[in-house]
Amino acid sequence: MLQIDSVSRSFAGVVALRDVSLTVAQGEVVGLIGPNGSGKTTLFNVITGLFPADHGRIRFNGRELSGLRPDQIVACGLARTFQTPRILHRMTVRENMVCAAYAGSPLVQRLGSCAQSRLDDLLRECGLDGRAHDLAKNLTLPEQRRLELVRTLVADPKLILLDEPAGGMTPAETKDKATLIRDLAAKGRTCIIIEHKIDMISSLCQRICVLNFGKVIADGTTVDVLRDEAVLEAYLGPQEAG
Amino acid sequence: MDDHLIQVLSNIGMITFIALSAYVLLLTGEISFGQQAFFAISAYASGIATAMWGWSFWLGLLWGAGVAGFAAFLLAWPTLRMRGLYFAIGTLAFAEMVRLIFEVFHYQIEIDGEMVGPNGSEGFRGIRYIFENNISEFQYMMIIYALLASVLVFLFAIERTRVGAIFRMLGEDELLAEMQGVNRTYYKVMATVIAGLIAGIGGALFAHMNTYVEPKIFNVMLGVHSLAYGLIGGLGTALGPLIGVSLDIGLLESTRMFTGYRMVVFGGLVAILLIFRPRGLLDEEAVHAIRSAWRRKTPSTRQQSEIDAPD
Repeated sequence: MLQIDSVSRSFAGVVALRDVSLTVAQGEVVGLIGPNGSGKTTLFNVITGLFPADHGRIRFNGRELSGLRPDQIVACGLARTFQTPRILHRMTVRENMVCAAYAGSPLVQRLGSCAQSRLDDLLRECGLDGRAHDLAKNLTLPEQRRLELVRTLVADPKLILLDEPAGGMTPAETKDKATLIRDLAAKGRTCIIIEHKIDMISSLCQRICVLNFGKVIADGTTVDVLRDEAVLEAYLGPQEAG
Repeated sequence: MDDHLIQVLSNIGMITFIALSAYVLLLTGEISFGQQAFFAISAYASGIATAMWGWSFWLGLLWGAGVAGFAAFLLAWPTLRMRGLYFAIGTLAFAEMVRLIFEVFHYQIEIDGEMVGPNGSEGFRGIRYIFENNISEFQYMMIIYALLASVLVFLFAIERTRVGAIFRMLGEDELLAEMQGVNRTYYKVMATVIAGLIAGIGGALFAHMNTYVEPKIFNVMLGVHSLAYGLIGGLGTALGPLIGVSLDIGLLESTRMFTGYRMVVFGGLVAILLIFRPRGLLDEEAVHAIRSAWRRKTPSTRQQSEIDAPD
């Protein structure tokens, strides 16, 4: 579904991504981990067209994404969330959903009143139906993250990029969030998840890719990667890992 | 109706057009100090059409607004890559450029032994269509408010559609809008053109009411005021700029309560509002509170009272 071939990206001489290659198959839930500053979010930004890659190619369902605008990439069937939840604070929860429908999904626009009930269903599924008419800025952090996630579903994306979906959450909230993502995966959605909470990642992902200093240092099954010496060294330092 | 009152109300109506023009761009998150350029372009274009070419007022108004809309389209392209402060400076530079062009713009023809037409910094006198056709000041005021009501209805309608939602989305978080599939360029150009057209309607009305225009009228202060009106009245609804204009022209200028100190009071008012209500009196939160109260009062109108009604 997604093929990233030797993608590199630098910022004023600082290499953020170095020959990164990654393939994600339909229906896979892939974890993308790595220490802070390892290039995880930059990779998401390059995939979604916010930054062009200096070198390399990105293909999605056989279509070359390089050179496309972010909105064109989104129209191919990608959606993403952000490390700090990005919601429309001055709008209500439901207006956030309506904007998502208006912005990117011609299908939803054509559905008319059916689309309205679909938005209500989505809000109900993520437990935000009771807050539909509240201003989004008044939501708690977990609610904001839930809104951000459910909003991506409005356009019915084929691939969802989740950037630290449980960032700043308590263990109980993290568990709820994991359940929500597991439900998405069970419905056959393909996801790439950036997360520092290894328990969450290992419970959700069959496969993990590890970045360090912009380079892929491990890519394999969750069990294998979490035992990989290079990964332990990246996280714990050479002495602790040894 | 008292002549002074008619004049004040007419001024409020005409200036509201330029305030609404700045408001449309504010919705998309852009600050323009240059909406007076489209006001000026239309004032001259419509004046030329009626006073020199013998067109009817309505045709002249359409022509003026159209030329202003086209100028806005031309401005949109080079300024598209600019954001925030750079966009604001770009629009200011454009407006000053337009004003300076009118300072040296000479195009006059002889009509009934009198030279008529723009005469550089001397301005453009003799835009007398309204008086030659016996349209009273009261009737003209009614024309202004009929057009203003039409523009407000248009803006209310837009706010309930996809375009309005996307404008507000761009205004709140451009990056998020793009990441949800919004073509930023397309909608920013659309907003700039709509803003140009609205300012253009105001400009044409202004020229015909005053019978003459001169470049210095369209200076940067007109642009600053048009921007401030939206920020005072509020960005939550298209009524916000009307409230802002009414407060300034209706209260501060016309009552002469603060003679000599009007700008001090106006500046102070802007500063206080920017501190306590940075998005104006009728900001999104106030509009939401009004809507919620309305929804509680009349639950049956719930679906109709929201911007998210089906298309």
